[in-house]
Amino acid sequence: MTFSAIIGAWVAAGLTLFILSFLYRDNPLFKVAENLYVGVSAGYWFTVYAYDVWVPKVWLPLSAGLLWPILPALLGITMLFRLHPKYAWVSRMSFAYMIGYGAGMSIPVTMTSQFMKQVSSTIQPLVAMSGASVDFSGAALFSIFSALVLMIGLLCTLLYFFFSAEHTGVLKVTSKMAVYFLMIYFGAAYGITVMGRFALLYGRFAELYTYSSGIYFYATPILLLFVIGFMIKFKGKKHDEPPLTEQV
Amino acid sequence: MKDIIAKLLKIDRRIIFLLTSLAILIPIVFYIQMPGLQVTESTKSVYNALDSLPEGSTLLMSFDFDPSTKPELYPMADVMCRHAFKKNIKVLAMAFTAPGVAIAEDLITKDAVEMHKEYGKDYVFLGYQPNYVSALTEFGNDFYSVYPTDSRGTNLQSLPVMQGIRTIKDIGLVMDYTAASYLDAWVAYSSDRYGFKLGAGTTAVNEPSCLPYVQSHQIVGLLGALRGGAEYESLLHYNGLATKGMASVSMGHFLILALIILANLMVLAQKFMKEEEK
Repeated sequence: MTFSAIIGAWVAAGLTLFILSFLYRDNPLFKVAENLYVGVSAGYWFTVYAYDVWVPKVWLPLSAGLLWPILPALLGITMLFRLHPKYAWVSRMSFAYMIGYGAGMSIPVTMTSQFMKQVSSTIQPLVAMSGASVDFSGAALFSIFSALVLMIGLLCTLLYFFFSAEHTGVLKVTSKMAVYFLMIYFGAAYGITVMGRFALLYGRFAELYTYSSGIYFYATPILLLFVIGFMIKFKGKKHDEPPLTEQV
Repeated sequence: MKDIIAKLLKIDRRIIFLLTSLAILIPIVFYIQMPGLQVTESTKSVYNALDSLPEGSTLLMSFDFDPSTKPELYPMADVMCRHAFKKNIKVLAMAFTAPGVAIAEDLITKDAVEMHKEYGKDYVFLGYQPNYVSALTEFGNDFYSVYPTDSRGTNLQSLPVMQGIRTIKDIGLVMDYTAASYLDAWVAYSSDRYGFKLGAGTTAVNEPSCLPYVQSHQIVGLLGALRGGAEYESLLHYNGLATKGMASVSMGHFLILALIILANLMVLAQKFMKEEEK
């Protein structure tokens, strides 16, 4: 095991435990980790933009005598004029270019790939019903049933958010059905989010467990004892903050 | 009884945090594994898309995520990289997020060392590409105008791994591992336009918004979070990171279900007792 890997393990385990210590109560160790995270992120992204964008896309071509990066670089620099109220208008040119470019690029492809193709694939199983040779296999029937459920759910949900007419009569029925479709969606989304969060927690715990071994000089147990000791001492000093259960 | 229920309903949330931690930690410490994982059609489609590629084909892996979602996406990328190397399929790794480069290098180097693969011949790191819209649009015209060199500065066309590749259409399968909306861009700006095989791996939170692409056949299949990785591992008969993690995730789910049921039962019991008192 290299020295840098051991140092990395101690830093990773320590910062993870510092962040998790917030679950007990707010404390200086959490603040240290939080501020470090913000600072390191800012520094990291600055170097990324400097060395992965500015140097290869602007500096190196200009150094090689190519002049084409001048215009985009100028457009980029003029964006900074936004910071000065008197000269903020200069930045409008860059923003106009970006908005025009963005809209021109994204609107046609988004309409095709996220609207037309989705509508087409939704109605395809229903089109199969009107064909000369109707397929009565289990898979085909299930596909038609799914398409019908999807279509009814889609129409009901769209009508639920139609506020130009009072939800009475037919609209009342469709709105009630839409509530059930929405509840199923929210339930599924909640369940899948919980699964995702547990997977992330598993990732941290699996790493903490790895760092608890002898090859990492028992980073996790030693740092855990340190955090517990600090929390006991910190709790003894500060009592003015209510526990988390009372902070809701 | 009434007092116990009232106390339990006001339980300190830190006890629930502790129970959750134990539910996740116990399977890790005792190597518990969950039996009977069912493989979804979507995962099978991704597996078949890679498995059906002939030897010498190319898999392009786009690591469009950062360490915050690594536990969900790393295992699926890992097992797919192993699958590709096992089948002697060349691997190209790229990223539209800067931290993705380090994750890709760590993952592929580890697998390459284990499976005796050579840099430049069997795999290559293309590096970070900041403007993904331009890159995705240009991939279909000339791959080398987006990546003239690899991440180490070597002329990309001079590497044996790039033989036979001019545009993205020459790549057997493209996999996008993402926790954000990069898949939308991959579909809209590249795969729909140039018609190459695109698959995806995404986080659980992102999964519902990506699934419609499977239904419309705009992507070959979708690996959903840790479970998707575990399903792929079971198809490859490989006991990897995702399979190990599924026990922890399942234990966590059981705990949440138990707590929801218990809390509802206690609320009902409390209500029942109040009515009886009246």
